[in-house]
Amino acid sequence: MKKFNYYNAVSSASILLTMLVISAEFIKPLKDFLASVFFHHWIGKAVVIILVFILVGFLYKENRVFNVQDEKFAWNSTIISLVMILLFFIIHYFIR
Amino acid sequence: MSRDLFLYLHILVGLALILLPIMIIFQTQEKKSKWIKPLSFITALISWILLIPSGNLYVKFYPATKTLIKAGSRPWVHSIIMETKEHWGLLLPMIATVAAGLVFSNKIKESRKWWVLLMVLSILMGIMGWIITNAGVVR
Repeated sequence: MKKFNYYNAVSSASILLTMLVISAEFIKPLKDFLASVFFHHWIGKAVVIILVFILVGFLYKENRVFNVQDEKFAWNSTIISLVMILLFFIIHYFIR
Repeated sequence: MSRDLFLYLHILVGLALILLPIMIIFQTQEKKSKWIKPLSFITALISWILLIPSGNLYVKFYPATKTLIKAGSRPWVHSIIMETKEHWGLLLPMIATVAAGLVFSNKIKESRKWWVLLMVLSILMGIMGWIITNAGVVR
């Protein structure tokens, strides 16, 4: 993978998505900002993480992230992000 | 375009994202497959294309369904299932791109778990879509 680091791209996009999902539920101005700029907060999140996916993939080509192999980091961060998003909405529903 | 057209496209492309990874997973077990690269490219491409019907359905047509679901006896269908599905859906094309990128980098073995993840996620999202559709039906 000389031109594009797929692992770093997906790690950064999945972590950022989880952060955006959680923070947008608690910080209403952030959700409103995404909605006002991109017509809908979901489109805003999509545009932001796609841009980060492309930029990080092209610009950050180190094969270690926080001293962890990029492949392992990418897999773990993607799985953890998917689980965290589900858990967040379950918890958010019951404690709201 | 009408809601139904987007809906059928959404379902068909979603089904393709279950079937294509299965075909690719079988191809990864072959020593030299001539199909794995074209199949991987097509899968990654359609995973990005899927954002068009799903985005249109969610932004334009889902708000009416959301109102019905939230006013009904199962508001958790929106608050948990739909909220999760809409965000998992954003990671789907990226997971497919990673898997396809690994295939094109001749890391076929490493790509296998990403294809499995894509397939499992697509199946789960299909089930979630079915639950949402049923919750939004007025009886």
